[in-house]
Amino acid sequence: METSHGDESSAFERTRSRLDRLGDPALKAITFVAAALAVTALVQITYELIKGSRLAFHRFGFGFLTSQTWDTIHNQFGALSLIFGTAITAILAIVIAAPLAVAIALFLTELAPKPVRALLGALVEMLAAIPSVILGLWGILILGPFVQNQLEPFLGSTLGFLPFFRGQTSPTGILTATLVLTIMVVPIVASVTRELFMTVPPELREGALALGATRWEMVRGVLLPAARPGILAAVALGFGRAVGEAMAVLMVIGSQIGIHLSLFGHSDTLAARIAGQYNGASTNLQTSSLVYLATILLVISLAVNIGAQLLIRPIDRRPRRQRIALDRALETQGMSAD
Amino acid sequence: MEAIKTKIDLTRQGRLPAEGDREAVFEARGVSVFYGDQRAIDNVNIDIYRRLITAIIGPSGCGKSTFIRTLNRMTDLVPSARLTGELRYRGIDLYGPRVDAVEVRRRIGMVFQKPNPFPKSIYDNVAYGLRILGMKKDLGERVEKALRAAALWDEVKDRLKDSALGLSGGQQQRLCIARAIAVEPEVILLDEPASALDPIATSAIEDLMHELKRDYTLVIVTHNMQQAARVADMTAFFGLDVSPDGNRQGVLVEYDETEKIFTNPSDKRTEGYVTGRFG
Amino acid sequence: MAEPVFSLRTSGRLRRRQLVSRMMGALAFAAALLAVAALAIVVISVASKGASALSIDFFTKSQPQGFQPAGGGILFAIVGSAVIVGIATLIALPLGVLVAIYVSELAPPRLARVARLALDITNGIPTIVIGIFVFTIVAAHQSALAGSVALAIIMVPLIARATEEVLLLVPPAQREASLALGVSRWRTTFSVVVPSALGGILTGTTLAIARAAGETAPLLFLTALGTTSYADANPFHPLQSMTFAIFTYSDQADPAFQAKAWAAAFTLMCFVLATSLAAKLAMARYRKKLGG
Repeated sequence: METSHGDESSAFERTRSRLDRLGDPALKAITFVAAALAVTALVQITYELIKGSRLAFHRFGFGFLTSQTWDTIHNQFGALSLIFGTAITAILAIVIAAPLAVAIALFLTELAPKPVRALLGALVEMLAAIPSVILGLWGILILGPFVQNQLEPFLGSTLGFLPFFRGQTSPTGILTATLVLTIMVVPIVASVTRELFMTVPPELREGALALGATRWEMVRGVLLPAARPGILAAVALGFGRAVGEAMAVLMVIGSQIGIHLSLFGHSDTLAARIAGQYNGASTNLQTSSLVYLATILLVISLAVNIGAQLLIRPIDRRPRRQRIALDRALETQGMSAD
Repeated sequence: MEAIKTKIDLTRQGRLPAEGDREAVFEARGVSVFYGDQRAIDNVNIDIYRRLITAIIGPSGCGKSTFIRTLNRMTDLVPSARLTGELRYRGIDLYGPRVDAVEVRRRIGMVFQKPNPFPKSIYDNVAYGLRILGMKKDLGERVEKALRAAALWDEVKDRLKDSALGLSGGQQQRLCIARAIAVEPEVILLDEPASALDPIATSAIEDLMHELKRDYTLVIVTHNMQQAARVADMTAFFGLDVSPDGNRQGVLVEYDETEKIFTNPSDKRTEGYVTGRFG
Repeated sequence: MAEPVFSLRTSGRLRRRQLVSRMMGALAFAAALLAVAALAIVVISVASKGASALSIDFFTKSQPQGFQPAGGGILFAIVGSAVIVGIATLIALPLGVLVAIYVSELAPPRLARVARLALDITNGIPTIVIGIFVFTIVAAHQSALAGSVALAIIMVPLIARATEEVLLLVPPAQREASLALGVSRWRTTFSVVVPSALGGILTGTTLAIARAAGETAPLLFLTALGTTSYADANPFHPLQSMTFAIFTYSDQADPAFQAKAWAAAFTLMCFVLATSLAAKLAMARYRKKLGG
């Protein structure tokens, strides 16, 4: 282990074994490579997807984005109706889920009795942990029949004057997919929002209440504004999840190409279309078109995620700064104790 | 130096109304507060008088903060907290069945230990309470008046739209006082308002309290005896009591004119505390 | 005693404000109730449908050849999931911990920020896209290993971020104490910092495993097809998995298959919920220990 001891003058240099001295740069190099690998995964993924979609891009160009066709027999592919299906299901889901999730977070941090808070918070997080294939299974075998036999007839008879609530009722379709996505997204947004609310200092709440504000006035005037960027980011992340969900949607949306207004009708999304063709890509062009779809999906999710991160970062910086300040305080305390 | 200052300031109180001329705003009779099974303060009897400054002093853990929070029902925010006995505000039972805590807090404002401005502009901080209470008429004037009363106007009048978080700690605390004054309360409770501030900011707050005394009833909790001696007309000394069952609870040991508490207390515990020989 | 010339009761405007406040409170309560109801409905229906289809055979036998609906079990779907997720963990755990060490202990602040951002963004990439990414590299060569790589890409950011968080919780005094003894940085890292954070690293990994075990989409293009045998555990072959089994069974009209889907879903749900709940509880306790 130990190398031979040199003379007195080099006592500071030579007492550590070579292994020990190599350890620090080695650790730095190894961890750097690992970090570089993890960070460049993003670039790798983007590069490989663009490479893989080259064939389809050559053939269809950006016209791919504006074409509704997905014809495996004549090898004609386009993404428009999938983009439409993705947009409508994800937007509807987040529009329903966001206020619900914020309300749940409010209840969990502001209203629920203390012992209930932890329990309910854990339940909401459990809902977020349920695998999407199980939600899909539940969606197709339990929610689907309910949508077809109860919900859609009810919506048709009360709101049927709108074009959205007309058409053949079906266990699968945009409505079912939207509801499954909502159930997926609510716990994600709710648990992030809950943590945000918990970081708002209690003194701010007290400040508002001591002025004679009611609880709701305190929430609207102080709590929500203080947490607003974080809530927006949480909603964006939830939207990203809804856009990218493949399995649960694939199982309940009906996998049909075409653009229509009826929420009862079948449709398909980018992610679900890719997933659904896992065993059917017969030509290189079709495979390449699937990769093209994945590239579109990647671009959307990158945009949504980067946006969300930019919203979160300013908040994220504050605790870190506090942490540094705290460390410094501890250090000076330690020094004065000596 | 500190002692000299105390002496000078003791004479600064001005004339205290004679005992018979004082008008009680709060009347506490046998007030005890529990957190769950734990008794935090026990059997407090005290009259707090109108347009005087009443200081509450005592060692840490003696329930000073708990007591001041019962005065505007901030204790409601702790679900396990429970009050027994009777606490009247201008003759009305504060914990009576039909009393609305929100209405109570509008009339009895509070300033906290740590300055807690909202993450809004200076102007909006003061206007916040006015807006929710529907006092929207002459909003700008009301904000200015409150900021002037809190001796902050000259420092912030050119940057009312700036974030309140950019103010210094002392300015933030005066902003919080302005915020409390703006909604025209009758009483202002101050829970260790200067404990997070430097000496200069502290002295600004103390001067301000003397000004506010003309229009408001002030109750201040402080762990700083010099501060109590400097600002208060009346001083209540809370002590720690260990009951036979081993429960540690706060009790009101002595309540009198500040000068008497600090120069000639009648209770040994008070004397020990104010002379620094507590224990 | 002062004569009450005013009232502290709820009156006029305040009555309306209190009403609004209560209504909003009721709405929030209703929303929470709805969420809990949704969870209850999903969990109860999966449990009731799944539990009745469970049997000893279900766990000890393999799917009959020829994809027969009757008889057999999902033994090799469980084995396959274990192999795929196990290999993914073997890849992701060291990688994630090394990344976390770099980010929290060694990296200059600006690089650390970039790395965190990249990890968080990678975490947001749809898992189907990650599956397609690996697919573009392995092309038609399906194997459990390819699926593991895809799952590892999903797991690394989760493990790295969780580890980083607990590394930051390790008191600087511990590092300094070790460094002041003349112990080199890397020894300090592996003998003081990492052991101190071990509990947190393990719970973070457990959460990542629970997440990976529930993933289906990234496996579709990588280890779903070309299964020649329903009793295989060789990671170089495409293997069965729990999630893929649920997906294929749910697609069948035959109630016997649907029963299998429910049973498999129930099994998977129990595993995922139990592990993630246990990990979260352990994490909360661990945070308290280090933080307090």
